[in-house]
Amino acid sequence: MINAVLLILVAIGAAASLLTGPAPIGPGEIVDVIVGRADPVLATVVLELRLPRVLLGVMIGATLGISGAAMQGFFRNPLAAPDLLGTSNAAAAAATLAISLGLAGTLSPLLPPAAILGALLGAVLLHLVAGRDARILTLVLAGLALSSFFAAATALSLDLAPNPFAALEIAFWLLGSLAERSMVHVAIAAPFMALSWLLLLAARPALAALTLGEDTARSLGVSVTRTRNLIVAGISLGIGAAVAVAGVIGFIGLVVPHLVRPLVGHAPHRTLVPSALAGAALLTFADVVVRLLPTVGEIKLGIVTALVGLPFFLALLVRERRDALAAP
Amino acid sequence: MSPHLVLDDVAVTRGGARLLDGVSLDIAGGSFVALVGPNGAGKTTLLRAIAALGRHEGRVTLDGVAIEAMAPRARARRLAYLEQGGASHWPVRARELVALGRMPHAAGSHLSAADDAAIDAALVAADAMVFAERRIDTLSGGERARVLLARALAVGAPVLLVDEPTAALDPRHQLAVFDILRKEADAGRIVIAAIHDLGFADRYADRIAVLDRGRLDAYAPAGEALADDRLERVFGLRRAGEGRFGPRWESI
Repeated sequence: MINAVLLILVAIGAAASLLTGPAPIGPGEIVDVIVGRADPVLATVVLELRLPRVLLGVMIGATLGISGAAMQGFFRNPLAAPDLLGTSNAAAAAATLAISLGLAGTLSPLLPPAAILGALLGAVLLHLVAGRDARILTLVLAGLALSSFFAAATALSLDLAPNPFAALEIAFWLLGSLAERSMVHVAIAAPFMALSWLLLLAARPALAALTLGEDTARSLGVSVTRTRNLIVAGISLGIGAAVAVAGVIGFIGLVVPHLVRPLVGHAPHRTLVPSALAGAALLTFADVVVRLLPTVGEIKLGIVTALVGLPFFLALLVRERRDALAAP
Repeated sequence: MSPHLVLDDVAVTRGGARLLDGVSLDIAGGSFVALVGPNGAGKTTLLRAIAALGRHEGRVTLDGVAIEAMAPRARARRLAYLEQGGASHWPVRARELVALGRMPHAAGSHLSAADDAAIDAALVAADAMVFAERRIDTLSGGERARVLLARALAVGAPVLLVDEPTAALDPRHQLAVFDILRKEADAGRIVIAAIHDLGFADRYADRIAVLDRGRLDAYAPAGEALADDRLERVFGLRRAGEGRFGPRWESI
């Protein structure tokens, strides 16, 4: 039921995104393109400029949402998210390094693997530093340290860029945006993201058991090591691919599971699919908003999600703290 | 089939410290064994070793099969473990928490009619049916403890390992929990419970295993296991007369 409603929201967001852009294109013309009756210029605009943007918004939003839900479930920690815990920055650092060293361009199929390796390094380091049964504070501090470290590594990599213009281009790309992406971006990112979703979904029963803590989960036959490997691999593949094609888009992974959780009775395994759908809807709508705002250049999507996401998250935090105090 | 649990020379070393040393026990189905001993004697370590939750030396076999050799899910169906001071990390409904006890049986997240029946039975046994549909964070400490006990009962395992199940409970619910555990043992299961309250251990257990600094000091019926000289030596306790609620103790 919830999934059906969210799916409709994703569809509305996708439709709105197809209709948004500098050229005025109406619903009828979109239908013409779909059935193949439209003129070639119109078809090109819709299929090669707008469609990749829609697809990437849905895919990346879903990846961010499901990653946040999986991380929060695994760590039993509502402050976990790939962007807060350093995974996204690690992916960005590796991607920047690959571009700066001339190993891959922003359209290269080699860029996602590079970013995935970076994300993997970040995720493994996080688990080594914070440990498995990390308290909220330990985890957040470890994430903060890793985020800062990889941000510095990114800045260092920028200095290795072949020329100042390349550096500037990479810096803008890092801010997080879906503008001017093509079907090539969709093609190089989609397989990794799909695999990431499958791995994270496979961890669902274990996430349910982890509600009772690690020892009890193990006594129920759950392998915590296998679960951790699924989560680390799934997050790295998904976030690496997302960062490689769209830069760092924050707060979706953190906020979305909080929105979804009360709707599914707070059970961690049931938050994954709705978080993916809600993330897809939210990012698609946000990407419509950045195009509608009357700014000279288009505002970067990552900046919008941070500006809207942070106050929202702080409000959630205050509410959680009040609930915690009110509990017997 | 009545379960048969055998511990042979079980030892646990952590960071160079010998937490458990040479513990051997032979426990038949239908027994309620109380694990007693001062803080740090190794009660939790022993329960965790039996549940295969930590590395140990020596052998633990259930019906002749080494527990480490069992597949994790098969082992989970045979050994239910209720950890001390367990908690739910998410505010889910009580019934949903109890349903997690069926995980070793269920295929995926689907609950069969048999699973539902086991969950209901466990909720009734733990006297938790009344608040089964409530969120766990709205329950009192005692109610939560009963939900967690129901979770362990829902596994339906022939061996039930419980660590300090009554720490958060008022006297009436302490009694209720021990009645439940007694009933589980009477139904042919093996119940091993780490218990601080010697009075309850004396009253409910068939045999008492006394742990002292990682070693098994006694494994005998209460009269022998809790003899005055052992209480003095292991617990540092001496009888100081009778009170309204049984013997009064003083520390040596």
